[in-house]
Amino acid sequence: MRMKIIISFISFCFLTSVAGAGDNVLPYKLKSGKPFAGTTLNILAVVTPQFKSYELRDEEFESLTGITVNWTHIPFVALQEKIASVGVAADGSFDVVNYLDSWGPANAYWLESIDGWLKRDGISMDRYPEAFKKSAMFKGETLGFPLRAHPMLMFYRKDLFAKHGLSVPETWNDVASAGKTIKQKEGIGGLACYFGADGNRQNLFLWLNYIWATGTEVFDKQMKPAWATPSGLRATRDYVSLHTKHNICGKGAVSNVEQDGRIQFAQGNAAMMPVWWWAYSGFYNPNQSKLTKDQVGFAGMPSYQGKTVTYAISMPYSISKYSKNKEASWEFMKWLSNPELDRRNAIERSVRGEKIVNNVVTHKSSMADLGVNAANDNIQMAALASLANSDIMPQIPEWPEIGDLLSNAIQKAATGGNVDKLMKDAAKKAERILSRAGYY
Amino acid sequence: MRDRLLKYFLVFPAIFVVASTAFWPLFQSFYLSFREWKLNRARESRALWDYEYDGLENIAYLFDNYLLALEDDLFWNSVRVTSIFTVTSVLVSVGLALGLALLLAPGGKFRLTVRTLLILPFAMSPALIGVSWRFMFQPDFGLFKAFFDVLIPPLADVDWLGDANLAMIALVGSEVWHWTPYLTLVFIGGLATVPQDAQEAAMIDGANSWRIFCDVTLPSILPVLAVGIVLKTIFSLKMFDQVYMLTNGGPGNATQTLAHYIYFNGFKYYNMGYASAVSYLLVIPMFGLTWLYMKLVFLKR
Amino acid sequence: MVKGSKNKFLDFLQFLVILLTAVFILVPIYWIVSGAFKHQVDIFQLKLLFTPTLENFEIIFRSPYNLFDKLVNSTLVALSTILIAIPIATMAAYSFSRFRMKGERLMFVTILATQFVPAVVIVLPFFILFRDLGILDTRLALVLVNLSLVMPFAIWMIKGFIDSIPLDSEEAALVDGSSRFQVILNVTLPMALPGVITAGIFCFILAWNEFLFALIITTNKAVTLPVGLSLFHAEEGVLWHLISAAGIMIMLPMFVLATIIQKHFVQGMTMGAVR
Repeated sequence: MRMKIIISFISFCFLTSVAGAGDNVLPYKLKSGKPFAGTTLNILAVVTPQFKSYELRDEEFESLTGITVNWTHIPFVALQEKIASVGVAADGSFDVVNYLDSWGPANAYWLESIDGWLKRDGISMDRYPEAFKKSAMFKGETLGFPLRAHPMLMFYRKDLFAKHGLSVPETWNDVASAGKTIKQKEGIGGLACYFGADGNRQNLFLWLNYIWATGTEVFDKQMKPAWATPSGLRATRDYVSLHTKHNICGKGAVSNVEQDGRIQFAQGNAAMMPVWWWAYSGFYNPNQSKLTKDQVGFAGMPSYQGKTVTYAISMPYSISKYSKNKEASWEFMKWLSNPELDRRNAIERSVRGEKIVNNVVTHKSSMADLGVNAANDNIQMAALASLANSDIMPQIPEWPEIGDLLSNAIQKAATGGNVDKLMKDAAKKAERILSRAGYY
Repeated sequence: MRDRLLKYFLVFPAIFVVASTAFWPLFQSFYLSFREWKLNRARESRALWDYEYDGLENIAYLFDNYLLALEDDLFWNSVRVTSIFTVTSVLVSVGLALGLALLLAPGGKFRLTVRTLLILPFAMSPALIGVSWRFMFQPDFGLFKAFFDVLIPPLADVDWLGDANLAMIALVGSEVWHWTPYLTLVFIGGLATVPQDAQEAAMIDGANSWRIFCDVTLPSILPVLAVGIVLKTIFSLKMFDQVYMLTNGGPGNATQTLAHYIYFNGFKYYNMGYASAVSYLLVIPMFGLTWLYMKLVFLKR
Repeated sequence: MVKGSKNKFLDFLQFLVILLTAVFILVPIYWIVSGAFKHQVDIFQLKLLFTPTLENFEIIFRSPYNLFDKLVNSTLVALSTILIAIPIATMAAYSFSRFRMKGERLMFVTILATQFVPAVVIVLPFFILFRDLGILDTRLALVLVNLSLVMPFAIWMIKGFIDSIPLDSEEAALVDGSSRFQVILNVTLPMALPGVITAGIFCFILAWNEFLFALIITTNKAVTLPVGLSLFHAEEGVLWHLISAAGIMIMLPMFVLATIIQKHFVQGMTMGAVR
């Protein structure tokens, strides 16, 4: 009992001295003096354990600032429509919104630029990898923080590769030959392919790896479609030939979307799966997967023609222009995006009694952090390496439409269509869309 | 005399409800189909239609959205897909439903038990049906794969949703599964009103079942049958959730119905004005169908 | 002899077809229903035998799914919708069926025409309308939307049923001195009851399964089941075991309702015979 009193007393002194020493300094660069106490903020975010844990932790923010935070979680499948309706409503019903980066340009007209605040409070966007930083920008302005962002990694069956003496694939040719071996000897798919067009352009993730590696861009400097160059077409053909020629894919390659591919890998029906790093824990979770941790390995994405450029995706948080509490929202954004929270979220496996498994961090410092890596089998190091050569899809409002054209073309190509014709056709259609939108 | 007032009085509440709830949004969307209503543009005020416009002096500008639709070969593709889908699914489901209704109408414990099952497929939401059927068509662990493994081995490894024609069959199949049982219930209800005495008279006269069907039953249930066809057609033309979940219009655009095309252009590509214009093009065949109904049924009194 | 065995054969054929129909209906339903009792990891196995569990039903009622609130919302909205829509629709259907009115064709077609346009195109106008009325995220807003959705179909279907009822009994009653109103109540309605109930079930199901308007108009308080169901599309995949359990919750009321109503159908049919 005496010991307890002594310890409490010492802690009290320590805390008050810390508080007293930095008299006007709250952590995370929050404004001291609780100037916005009593405000209520409404947050619209996607359903994911990473954000669920933020919600469970927001008491810290509430006690530091006196601002109450209400979270509304929407499943990803319904998020695009919900965000669009929030923009149409124009009534400040949500102060902070979370969205997919490819919808950012279309919603940018009602998202508040944070550049002014960043400068005032001395926060730099360089704390994020380049691709993540770009994903939250539009027309040179920073619209928000990329709090949930992913690089792609190649997951593979360590046990099967060891069994057949295969080394970790470093090029897409390696993938093809390893895939053939596995398919012949194990009777399961070599690669879990997902050529399906799902409305979110998932079959373009790998396609971009291929064409970017050849230096082909999606659009050229004049915003004309540039993927139908000879090297771009060849890269596309090579991508599709994983299924149509090399035949290394698991079943349902043409209709599968990313989720089907993940399930295929987790159920042991395919030996390789190129996908987002957050899928890692699902691959050995006994509730969802037949695999154990020892069977699942990961590596950087393979190279094509000697180069690796991978695709990164993100889900930024932004402040709504219609919000009536913009300054308070900025305070919230500062807390939400602080590096300490980012770090802890990937290490601590339980928050207020609820089990949370998350390996997503977006600060460069978190990715290099030893503690974070130790808790996650060093997947963050692999991610950092992958992000050194990463890019994002074109940030234009018309991208969902043009991307879907490409997505459908790729799916048709995977069913055996003429790749060159399909891609050139898509280029013509895209050019029409861009010209009507006033680009030339 | 009192009837004259009564008939308007009976109709008034319905007209009032429909007018007050449906007309204003419809009018707005119709108006906006002539303007450049895009969800990715800033508006001048909080009203839905306050955009800056240019090109107002050009009257042809008003029809931009409509002309755009007619030029787009993806639009024509969806017209083709929707026609094939609607005609097939209406014919199959109405035909099956009529046959089943005749089979299940008589009493008896067995028939009654089966009749209670008829409501189940319709009680499922189209989205749930789309997602379940997609699951059942899964090449790795889907139910149909297991079926084919046992019953029709050559079909076992087929990727149904990866082939343009098979995906359409899958889509029609799920739609038939969804609607036929309910339509059967509707037709059974209709058969209940067939005058029993006329049927008995015909039987006494020595007519066989086919003749009884054509001369007594069919004319009697024609109104119900016609309503069933009209409603089913309208729902098939508008069907979206099932396509979205089952094939998402794939592979490529092979099963992209007009409703899917409209939805994607509206919400996913943010071109709501264009989507509205296409919708108003879609209502043309519906009006045609209704006109046909009016000619054939409404005036036969 | 020959005639007897022919009848027997036809009977057997009928029995077979009915059985096949039942199987055709039931197989996908069984697939879904069985999923509700499986552990998540068993979903991807095609086993006929599995260790069943009831935990899914418990999970769907807990946070974050909270299916119970959504069930309540859905029930209230759908019930209110048909309690308002069916009586109004029946009155109008009777009028359209039995009377000639000025502009009746126009009225009739216009009523149905309000449903020609896919929901996606009018959802935002509705959304803004409700925003301006201040009733966003309320059950009232959902009832209004569902009323506009359901009325045309209710009127058309019930009219179809009333059309099928021969005029003789009504005319007989009218000649006997009953008022038109009494005729509707005592003669037409009982005979049209199977039809009205069928239309009622149709409208209930339409309102029950309505998704897009509910998604856009509601956020927290008035969320209905279909929107709640979308929560089972998690990022790791579709949570089949949970969506199946929820699916059962959704189908069960309908099934119970229909079983009770079968008795009405039987009544309706015998009434038609005894005249």
